[in-house]
Amino acid sequence: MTESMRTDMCTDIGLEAPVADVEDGAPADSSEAGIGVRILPQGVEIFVRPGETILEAGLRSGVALASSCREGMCGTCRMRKISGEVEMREQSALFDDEIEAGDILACCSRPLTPVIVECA
Amino acid sequence: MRGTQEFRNLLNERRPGHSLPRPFYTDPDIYALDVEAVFNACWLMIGFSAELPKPGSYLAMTIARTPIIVLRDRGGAIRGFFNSCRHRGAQICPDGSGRAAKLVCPYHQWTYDLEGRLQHAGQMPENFRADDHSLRPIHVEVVAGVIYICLGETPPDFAPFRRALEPMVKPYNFENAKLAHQYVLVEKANWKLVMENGRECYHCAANHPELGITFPVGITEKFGAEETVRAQNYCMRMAKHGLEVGPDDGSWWQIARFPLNEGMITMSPDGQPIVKKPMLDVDGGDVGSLRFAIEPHNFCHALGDFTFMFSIFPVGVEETHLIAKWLVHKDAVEGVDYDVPSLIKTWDMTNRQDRDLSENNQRGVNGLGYVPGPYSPTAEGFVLRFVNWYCEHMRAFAGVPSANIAEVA
Repeated sequence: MTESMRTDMCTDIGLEAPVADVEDGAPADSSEAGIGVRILPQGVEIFVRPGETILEAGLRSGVALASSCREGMCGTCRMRKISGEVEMREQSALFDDEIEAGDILACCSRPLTPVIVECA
Repeated sequence: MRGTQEFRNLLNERRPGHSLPRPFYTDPDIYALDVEAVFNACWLMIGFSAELPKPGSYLAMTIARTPIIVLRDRGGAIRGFFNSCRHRGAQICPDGSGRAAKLVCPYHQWTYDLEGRLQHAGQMPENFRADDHSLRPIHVEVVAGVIYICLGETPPDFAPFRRALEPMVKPYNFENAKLAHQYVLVEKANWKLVMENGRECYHCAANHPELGITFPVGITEKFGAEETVRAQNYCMRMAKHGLEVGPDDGSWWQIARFPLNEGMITMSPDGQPIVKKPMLDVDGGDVGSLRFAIEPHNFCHALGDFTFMFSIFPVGVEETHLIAKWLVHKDAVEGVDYDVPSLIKTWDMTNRQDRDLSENNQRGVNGLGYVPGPYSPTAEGFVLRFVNWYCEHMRAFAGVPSANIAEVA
């Protein structure tokens, strides 16, 4: 096993926070644990810590999220934002009109407010 | 098979003016040669640029066993690529149409931009050169909105065909049309039987009564005085509108504009326009049909109010897929200016009748009783052209001297 593989696996299975099952209709919230992001259709809520991306927080929390390049290029982690605001550092896997329609890349997005997203 | 004496003998066995010896319709080895010599090497018509409205819009399809993708890049140009990842070859985009900012292989997420350049390949060594792993391009030509592709390294000369076709199709404004309907029809017959059927109307009067309402399906050359006058009037009327009639042709293409039956404006169930917004707004859409066709696999009919595309793709020695498309004016609104069931009715019935005819032909040809029979030089002239073109093409491929077939037009 290579060092990078071990690192990836530790990241992927390092469940530090239990995932809360919430009702779909409930708003995303924030707490000391970070900014709340609700992920549909699983209907789970995670908390994104300062400096973390939605993808990193999701994986840390045990949510099964697909990803690959983790630098905004491949679009594997694409999600549709239903509500809230994010800051997206890199977005070349998306067209401008897709971003306007709410598409985000979880690997490059940090929530600025509580957010509800839906996996593609 | 290609260079074998057996194949040369078969090519030499073909009697001029006759259908092909049975193995050409049934032998998997000859089918493999057909794919290599014809579908991997000739120009093929796949659709219209109007199907690729935005940057990133793509059409993905499989030519015989080769997945390809044709797309509009960020600059608006239409490009084509082999749809196989440069990593371990997986098909990148599933067959169909869609839109993507990047082409991402679903296997290991190798990511290409719309120009085919590899932009992401995870965990490759430092000396890995992305530049050496761009998607492999295919040849694409767009003629006034009609898309042709060629998988071969050295395509046949396209320029004469473009010169002839461009002025003929330009008035229909295909770039700004829209796809109203399309489907794939599976036909259990060798692709050459499907094409032979599609190149003649000897069978039409009996088998396509619906098409025969509007389409001139006469099986004899009975140009009486009355018909001659009507044809002359049509040519004069078209000339007045600056519409060339032709005919024009090359070894692998034919283009001609011709009148429909008396009083018939389009290929609809009653001959009357079926789309309220015409594609070619001349004389209420009464412009006859512009037929443009290429060997080995296609014909189109451009009418005043819609355009029908027929392109076939071989899938196996006895299986062929027809891709049928109907194009209308971009501003024509479904449910207001046209409805799909009425729009497609005439050609849909014709396609299904043709499928039945081709499958029935295959069954008979498979039988021990089949011996090649003679084509009608008049009613099956286009079949002769197709079959002779095919034989000459295969002779060249196999290194057999030309048969100098007299009836090649």
